[in-house]
Amino acid sequence: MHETPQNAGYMIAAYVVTAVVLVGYWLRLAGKIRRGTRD
Amino acid sequence: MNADRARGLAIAHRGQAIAALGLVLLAGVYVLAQGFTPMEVSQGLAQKIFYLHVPAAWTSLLVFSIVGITSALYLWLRDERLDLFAASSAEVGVVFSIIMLTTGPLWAKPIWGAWWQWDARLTLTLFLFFLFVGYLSLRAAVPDAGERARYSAVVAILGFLLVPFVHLSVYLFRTIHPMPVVLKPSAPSLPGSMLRTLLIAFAVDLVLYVGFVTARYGLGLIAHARAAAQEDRADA
Amino acid sequence: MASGLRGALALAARDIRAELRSRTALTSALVFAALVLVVFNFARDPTRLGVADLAPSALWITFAFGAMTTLNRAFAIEKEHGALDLLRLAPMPREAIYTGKLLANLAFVGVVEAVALPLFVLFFNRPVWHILGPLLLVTALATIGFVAVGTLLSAMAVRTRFAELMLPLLLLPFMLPPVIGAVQVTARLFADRPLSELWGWLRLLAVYDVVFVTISVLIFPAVADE
Repeated sequence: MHETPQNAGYMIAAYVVTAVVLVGYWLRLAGKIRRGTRD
Repeated sequence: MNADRARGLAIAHRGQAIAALGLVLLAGVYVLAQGFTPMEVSQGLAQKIFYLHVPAAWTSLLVFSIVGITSALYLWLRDERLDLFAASSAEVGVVFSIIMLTTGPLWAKPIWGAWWQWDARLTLTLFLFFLFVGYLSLRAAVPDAGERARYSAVVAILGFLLVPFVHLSVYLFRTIHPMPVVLKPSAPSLPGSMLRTLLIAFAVDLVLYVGFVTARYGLGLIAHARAAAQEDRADA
Repeated sequence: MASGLRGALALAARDIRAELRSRTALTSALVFAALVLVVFNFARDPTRLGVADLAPSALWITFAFGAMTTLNRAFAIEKEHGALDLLRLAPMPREAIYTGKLLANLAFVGVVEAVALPLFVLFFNRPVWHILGPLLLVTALATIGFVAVGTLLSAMAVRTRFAELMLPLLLLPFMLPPVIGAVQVTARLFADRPLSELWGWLRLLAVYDVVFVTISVLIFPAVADE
């Protein structure tokens, strides 16, 4: 029975990256829509 | 003219709403994966990256196929809505590729001991990513709308044909990527609760794709309307 | 069909004559090939790395970059002279225009390779006589594949902003299968492996050529037409 590896850091990084990319893209689109409403 | 812009805005807002729903559901996936899915004993917590990486990979491959097919349809029917849809999809596909290409190495480092391997699937997806970055750069670099649509359609179709070759050539080379555990001829070899989390995560990615692509499509309509208005002004 | 082929040959001949006058593409590609070969030779630690281990990669980096430089130059010249728009108006089938450009580009890249290979034999002290046949075959198969795609892509790239950047960016993914295949075959040839080991790769390269030459000829009208 071997020990379960301790690698939570990698998992947290992956979850953070995914959230940042998706929320970031959403905000980018929101910014463009806002600019589209102006003028 | 303003009616077109209003329609584009309405579509963009609807897309943003769907995508926002998708982001909320994604938070649900995080809770599900962390709290309600068993830990895999041999890989530890890093295995949970699987619930983000695999759905993102499926989504980007699906989206790039959609771009290839829509582009072929565009060259046939010459309907500019197809071009706009292909372009919107390609951009969203690149977003999911970025997730796939960053979460992959984050899993590979603790499990394989290396960030990157020149394996068939990794190489394939990396070059698809390059191809669609090239696709988007090409779109940005062609001023004429008709030319832009035709050129990018050609690149997307070529890319679609390239996929089997990249796969075969690197497969002839070697492969160490885990074999498919879900999409294979026999029944999926994944414990039920893990499979459930994976499939839910994939469904959420599809919601996000629909939302983003709708928003991006609406933005494209707005840009069209603006360009047309500028032309009118120039003619006047 | 016959007139289309004649048109394609005439177009290729015109390009080759123009290049023979200026020799810019050729010169830049040759300087590049020589540079790569020299760098590879001096970067190698002869006590740790045998020539045979490095030779296939050095040869294919030279060929790949030489081809890229050549393709880039070929359409840049076209652009400077504004000849592309004239070509579009020419009373010949679009397929013949593509075929003509493809033949001319194959000739340029072929010349670069024909000069780089002896340089390679010279600098790497690596005789190739006994494997010359298969080596030329694999070089031809790989070159046709990426030059076919490169010719199509450069016809588009030249009409964009940042044309010099656009071609390498778009062509890169399409160079992967031919170059991987060619390097694999070349390495096995230098290691004197039996020809039976090469069949899988050679077949893949041949199918790649057939698929991409065909699709490029068929799809070129969509690039050239208004």
